[in-house]
Amino acid sequence: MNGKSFFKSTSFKCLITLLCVLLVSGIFLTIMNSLLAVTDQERFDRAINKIYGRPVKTEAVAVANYNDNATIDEAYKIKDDGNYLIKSTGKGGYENGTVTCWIVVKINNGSIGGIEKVVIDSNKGQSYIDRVGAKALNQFSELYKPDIIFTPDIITGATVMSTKNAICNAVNGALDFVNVLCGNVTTEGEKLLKSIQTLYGEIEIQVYGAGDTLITAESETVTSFVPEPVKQGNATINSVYKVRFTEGEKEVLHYVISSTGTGGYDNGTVTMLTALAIEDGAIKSVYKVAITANKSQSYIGTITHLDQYSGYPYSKGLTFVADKSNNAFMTSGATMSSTAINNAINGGIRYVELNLDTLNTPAEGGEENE
Amino acid sequence: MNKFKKITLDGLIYQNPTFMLVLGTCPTLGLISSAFSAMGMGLTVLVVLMLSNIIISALRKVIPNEVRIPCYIVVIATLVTFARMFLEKFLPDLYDSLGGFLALIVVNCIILGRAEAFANKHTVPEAAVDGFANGLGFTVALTIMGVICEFFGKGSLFGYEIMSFKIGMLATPAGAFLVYGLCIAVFVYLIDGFERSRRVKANKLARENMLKEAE
Repeated sequence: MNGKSFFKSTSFKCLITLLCVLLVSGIFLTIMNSLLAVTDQERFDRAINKIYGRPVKTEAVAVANYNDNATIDEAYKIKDDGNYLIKSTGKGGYENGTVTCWIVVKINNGSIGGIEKVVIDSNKGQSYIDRVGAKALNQFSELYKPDIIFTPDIITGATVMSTKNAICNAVNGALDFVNVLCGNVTTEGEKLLKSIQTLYGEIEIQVYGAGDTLITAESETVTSFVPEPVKQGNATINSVYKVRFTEGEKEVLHYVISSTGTGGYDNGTVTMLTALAIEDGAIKSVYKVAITANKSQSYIGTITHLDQYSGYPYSKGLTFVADKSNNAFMTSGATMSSTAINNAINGGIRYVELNLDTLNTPAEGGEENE
Repeated sequence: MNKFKKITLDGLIYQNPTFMLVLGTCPTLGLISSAFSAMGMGLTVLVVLMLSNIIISALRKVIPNEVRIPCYIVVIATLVTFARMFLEKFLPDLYDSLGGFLALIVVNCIILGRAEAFANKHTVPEAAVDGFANGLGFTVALTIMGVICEFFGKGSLFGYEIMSFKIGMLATPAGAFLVYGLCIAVFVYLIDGFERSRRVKANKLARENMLKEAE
C-alpha cells in the first residue's frame, strides 16, 4: 500500500473519525470542567451546610492531639455563634478500624457548654455503621455533662459495640481538644488531679509527686516517683503518686499507680490507675482501680468487673488471674481486655511491693511520710 | 405522526427497557431502595439516552461501520461525564446518593442498545423520541419500584417518614430483586390482558365486517 492509497483507505477514514470524535469530546469536557468544577471551598461549605443546616462562616483553627484514642483532622471556629466544629477520627473500632465524625461543640462563657451535634463523616472497615442512627448520635448531646468521658455502654440503642467505641473516642478526642482551646486544661497538675480524683469521687485528696512535692492544679509540671516508665512483668509502670486524705480522724495514705498492661486483644494494651491502701508502711489492700486508656480494645466499654478489685485484701505475691468458671476478675466477652487489665494491676502491685522501702522513705525537705 | 406514537409506545410500554427487555438491571437493583435515587437515576439516564441518540443519529452517515461501537462509547462516556459534573455542581445530594452507579451509566446496555439498534438507523427526530420514550419508560419503572421498596422497606416516601411499620429486607438489593420480579409479573400480566382484549375486539370487528360484506 502506497501513501496515496492509505489516505483513501477505510482504515484512514476510521482513524480520522475516531480522532475527531475524541478531540471534540475532549474539548467539550475541558470547557465543561472549567465551568462546572467544584472547588474545595464549595465542598467544605456543603459539608458544613449538611451539619449545620444553614451556611455559616468559619475560621480554621490549628489542630493538635490531646487524646491517644483520637486524631483531630480539622477544626473550625464558627464565627456566627463561637461554637467549634471539629472533625475527629476515633480509633478502636471493629477490627481496629476508625470512624471519622464531625462534632459541633457548643461554647458558653468561654468553656464547653454541650455537644450540639455529632455527624458521622466516614469510616474504615465498620460494616455495621448504619446501625448507629441519629437516635444514638443524639445521646451525645443529651448525656453531655462537664468532664464526661463517653463510653460505648452509655450510648444505647445501637448494638455495634466496637463501632460505638470508635465514635465515643472521636467525640472524647474533640472534647479534649476544645477543652484545651478554651484554656480549661492548662496545667499538667490539673490533668493529673482530675484523673486521680475519678478514683475518690467526693473525697478531698492531696496528691504528692517525687520528693513528696504537693501537686496542685497550678502545678505546671508533675514528676512521679517513677522518673521514667519501667517494665514490671507484663506491664509498664508509667507513674506512681502518693495520695493522702483524712477518714474521720485517721490520716490515710494510698499509692496510686498508672500502669499499662499488655496481652489485650490484637496485641493491644490497657492503661489502669490502681490505688493501693498503705497501713504502717505496708500494703493493706487494693482500694480501687479505673481504666484510663486503651489501645485497640474494642470491647473495653463492656468491662463490668472492676468492682471486684475494690477492697481486695493484700497478701504477699497477690496476683489477679481471670477465672472463666465464676467470671472472677474478668468480663465475659472481653477476655483479652480483662487479661490486659489484670496484667496492668498485677504489674502495679508488684512494683510497689518491690519498691516499698524506697517509696516509704520520706524525702529530704519534702512532706513527712507516715 | 403514527410513527412517533409507535416509537413512544414501544419505549414506554411494549419494549419497556426495565419490565419487558430486563435491561439496566444493575442500577435498578442497586438504587430502588430509595425513590429519590431511583427517580434521579432514571432522569439522568433519560437525558443521556436522548442526547446520545440525537448525536449518534446525526453522525450515523459520518461514522464508519468498523469504528461505530468505539465512537458510540466515546459519545456516551462524554455525556455521562458531563452529567456527573452537572449533578456534582448543582444537585450534590443526588450525586452522593447515586454514587458509583452514575459512572456505570456508560456501560448501561439500554443506552448502547438503543444507539446500536435504533439511533444509527433512524433520523434525528425519531432517535430523539426513541431516547425520550425509553428513558421515560426506565424512569417510570424505577420510580414505581423505588416507591414500593422505600414505602415498605423504610416506611418513608422520598425521604419523608410516613409509617413506623417496615419490612427491612425490602430496602436491600435482595428485597429489590423480589419487588423487581413481582413488578415484571404484574406489568406483563397487564400488557397481556390489554393485548388479548384488543385482539378480541379486532376479531369481533373483522367478523362483523365479514358478515356485512357477506350480506
